[in-house]
Amino acid sequence: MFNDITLARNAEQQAGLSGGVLFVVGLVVGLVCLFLIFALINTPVAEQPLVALVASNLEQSGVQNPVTAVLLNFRSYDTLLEVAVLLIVALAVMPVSQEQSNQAFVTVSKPVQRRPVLEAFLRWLLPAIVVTSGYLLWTGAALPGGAFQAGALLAGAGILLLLAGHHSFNFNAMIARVLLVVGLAVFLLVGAAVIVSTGTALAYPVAWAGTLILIIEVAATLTIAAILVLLFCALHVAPQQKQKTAR
Amino acid sequence: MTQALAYSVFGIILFGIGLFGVLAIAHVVKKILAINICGVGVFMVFIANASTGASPDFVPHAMVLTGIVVAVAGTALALSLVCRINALEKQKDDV
Repeated sequence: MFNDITLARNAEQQAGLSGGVLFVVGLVVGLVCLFLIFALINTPVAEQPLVALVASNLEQSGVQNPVTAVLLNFRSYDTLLEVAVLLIVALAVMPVSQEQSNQAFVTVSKPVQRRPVLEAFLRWLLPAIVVTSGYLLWTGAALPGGAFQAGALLAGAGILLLLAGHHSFNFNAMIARVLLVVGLAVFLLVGAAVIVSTGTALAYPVAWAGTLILIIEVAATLTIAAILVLLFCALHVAPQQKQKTAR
Repeated sequence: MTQALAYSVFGIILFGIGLFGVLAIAHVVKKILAINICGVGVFMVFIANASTGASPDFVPHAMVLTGIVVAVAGTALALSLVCRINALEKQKDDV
């Protein structure tokens, strides 16, 4: 769909860049790279005090995987703000459509163009993706995995479903709106609720840390998946729409 | 040359390729791609430097994981802005 993006101003600018200018730009970028590599080689290896800090506090975090511990316990502000950034982007790109919030989230219709291979493949693939994503979410407590990986996989399932053409999503529906904000809402609620127990926002009580992290991760997975599918939806021109605009 | 250093150097080279793209290419969509290549280079340097000690440092890993998702979101935002500008320019041409 980006093939037809020309942007009138671009054509003029493209013609204006001469070989000499390109050479100078290339030279400068090359020099910057050489400087960076030189600086990197001459930098002594850092002591990494954080490694010992993470290792010594891992038992209190409620999970065994250090990456998950850093993401959702030691530096949970990062993850909280990241979910917020995702929500802001989702609001910014949300398609302004005529569909109302009382219409269904998923509508099934006959596709304009059938893709038999993808359709047959999806029947096998979709359940496998959902199960794998659940596994990734659960295993994130001890092994590599977690909310992002699970959410990205789920979003992939949603995008494949869209490409098959039978289903279309209406992100103005009530369920979709709930899905888009549930991650941030649960994160904020848990972060605020632990103040009662520990006195600090986002500092989980040790005994409950594992459970609270799991609750946050489940909600974050749903939100990340929903937002990634929404991002794809906003930029994807469905076949029937394309035909309409062509006529 | 250790493995970590090699990854870092190639990360910097990727960053340079992206930087050149941002500066030299006028097409907006290609510019967004170039910024993404820049970002991947930065992530690579981050990850490679995290593994220089006895055991890998997990904090940069977590930060890059966060960064990837934010980069995807930023790219989507930029692309949707490009689509909007393109639609507006087409509208202007029709009038």
